[in-house]
Amino acid sequence: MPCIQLQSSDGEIFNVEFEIAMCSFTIKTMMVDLDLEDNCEEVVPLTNVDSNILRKILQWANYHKDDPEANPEDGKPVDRRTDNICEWDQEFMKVDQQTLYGLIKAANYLDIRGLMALTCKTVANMMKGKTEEQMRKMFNIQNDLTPEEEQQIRQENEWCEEVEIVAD
Amino acid sequence: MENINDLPVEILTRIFDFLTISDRKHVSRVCRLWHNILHCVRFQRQCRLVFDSTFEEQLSDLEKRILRSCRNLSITHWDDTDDDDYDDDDEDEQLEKEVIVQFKYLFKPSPERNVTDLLFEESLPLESLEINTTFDSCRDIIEDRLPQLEQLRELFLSFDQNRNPNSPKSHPGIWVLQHKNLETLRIGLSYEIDAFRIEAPSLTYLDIQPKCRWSMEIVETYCRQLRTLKLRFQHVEYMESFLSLPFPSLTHLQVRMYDDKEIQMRYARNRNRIVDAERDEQFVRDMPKLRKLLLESNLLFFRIGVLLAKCNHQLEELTLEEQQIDYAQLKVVESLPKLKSFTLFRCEVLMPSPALPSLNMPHLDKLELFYNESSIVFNEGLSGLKSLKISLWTEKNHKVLYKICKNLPNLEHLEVLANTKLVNTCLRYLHRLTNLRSLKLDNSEPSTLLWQHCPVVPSIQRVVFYNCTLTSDTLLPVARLFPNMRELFIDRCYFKKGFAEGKSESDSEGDGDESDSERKNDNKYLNADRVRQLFPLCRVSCKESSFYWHRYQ
Repeated sequence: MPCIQLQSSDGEIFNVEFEIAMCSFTIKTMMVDLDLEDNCEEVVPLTNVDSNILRKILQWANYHKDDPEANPEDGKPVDRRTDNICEWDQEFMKVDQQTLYGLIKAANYLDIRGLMALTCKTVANMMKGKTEEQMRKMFNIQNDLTPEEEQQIRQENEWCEEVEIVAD
Repeated sequence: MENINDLPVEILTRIFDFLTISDRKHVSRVCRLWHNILHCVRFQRQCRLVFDSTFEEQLSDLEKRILRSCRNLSITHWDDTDDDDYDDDDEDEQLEKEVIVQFKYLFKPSPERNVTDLLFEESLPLESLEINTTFDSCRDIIEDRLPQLEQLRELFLSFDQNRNPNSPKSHPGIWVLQHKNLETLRIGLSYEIDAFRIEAPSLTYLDIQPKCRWSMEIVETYCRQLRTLKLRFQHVEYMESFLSLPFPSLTHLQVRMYDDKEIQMRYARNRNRIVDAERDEQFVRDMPKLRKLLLESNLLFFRIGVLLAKCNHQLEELTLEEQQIDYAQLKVVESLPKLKSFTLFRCEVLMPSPALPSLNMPHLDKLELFYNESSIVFNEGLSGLKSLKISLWTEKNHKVLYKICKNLPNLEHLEVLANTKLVNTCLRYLHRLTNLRSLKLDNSEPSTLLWQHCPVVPSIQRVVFYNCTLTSDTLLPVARLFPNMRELFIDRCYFKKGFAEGKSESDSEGDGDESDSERKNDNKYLNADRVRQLFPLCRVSCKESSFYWHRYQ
């Protein structure tokens, strides 16, 4: 099995199966552009990803290596559901917020679409069904809106306020 | 990476993409960054626009352009007759505001034609659709063409038969609603249709409105996947079949049933209670995820309340409305181990003795007692409370307020709807609540004189006057009483005097949603700027406050 070497920001080198590394469109493009496809000796530096995060990502990519490749051009409606996360992924996503954000940023930088969707869905699920106060607490955010702004937002949102009265 | 807001904006945008419209509403209120993200063009398109169209003519190009990017549409059928609130803003202004579209159309012989044009010929990427109209004008659309709106996830239908006096009262045949991606359905039908069937495999939220005639079959089909269910029963028989269904995914349940004394007595006499009890227990055990429960039915609470306690249920929020609750049932509520929030609304607590009931629930965070026939004793058993909303009318209740201030040291939010004397009493004890951050006074007239004798309450940061009668003299002591106040809301209040001299340049921020005719009459509205001068360190909001008596208009 051909391998390539990925180097994390803190200098650790990971030997990765070619096929697994290809889940990242960034790496894939890099390999094609630099014509490295036959040269497995080259070390690819990933300056934005530390070893902890990279290890997690490789673990995820290894599990998902046989997934069919998502083709964004196939005309299907965009996946907006958040309740279709498989059990392995749910378990995998049981991490602290710091790691979660690290994974999101890395998935974004490496352009790993499946992982990007998974991490974003996970954060979205943390927001779902919560009030603004609960979200501020959960994400440790200060409310920097003035009462006027809050009221304005409320007016803009009045149409669903009505829904809420029945819903809550 | 410390905080979610250190993520790049484009990532936050992708996260918000996964939220439903109702969740985005809360998200947009969390902080300025999130609000700004949700207000960029990308999300604006998913909002509803308010839009006046009579549908007499073809859609204009501008209307079509806005529609094509609209994700969230509400169609409301307006009669010529109830057209009072018709707001005649021109289209350019509407575009600028970029709020949500609402189509109001006047009754015409064939409005369905226009609605069809709107929904299908423009191929809208709709995610949320709300239709308030007559049944006959939309039946074909809903039945035949709804599946074409593939992205649709929320559907609110409300049909009224009164709009068109000529339409038949009853519609034969089975009415079918099909949609493979629909998650949320709220439906209200005042029509007597033979039956309607829903085929929506993704459904997780079902709200059947009071007017609707429905069959338990609908609930039965989706009972295993529903997460939210809201029902109103017309007959006790419905309740029996409801209690035989399992709801393993349900987190939020709301049931209202009209059950008078006679129904309760009949149940007490006739039913095979032991068989019922076994089945009821199964029903409660089959809802392990339930966290939020609202009941407006003595009978139903009588039957499942005890069992919730017996099963050690993880219920977190309980609301009881329009019920009579006896002492034993109150003890049941007390014994729910995870209950964080308890609301009694328009209830009567029946006690064996004239003594007021007390609650021993130190784990409770939030308590609301509103418009009830009786109050409770606030003693150490409620010392964990962080939020309390209470209405009090008779003057003997000043002891209640005293006890609240004495025995609830952890209280952070207090909302009082009470007569003026009680409020003044309340203010005198308020400084004992050293953790109190937020105070709301509803429907009172705080008197200047008493306020001057009240001790300072340094912990308070937020004060709301709602529906109160004030003078400029009453406001001045507020600054002294609450020296650390950062937010002041004066909403829907009436000012007896003062601030009137400011006029003409007034009415800028606070009164955003007046119509033009009201704007001409500047000085009747409170000048928010002048109030702000009194509270320079504080954010001040004055919404719908005036010098004219308009509270009950």
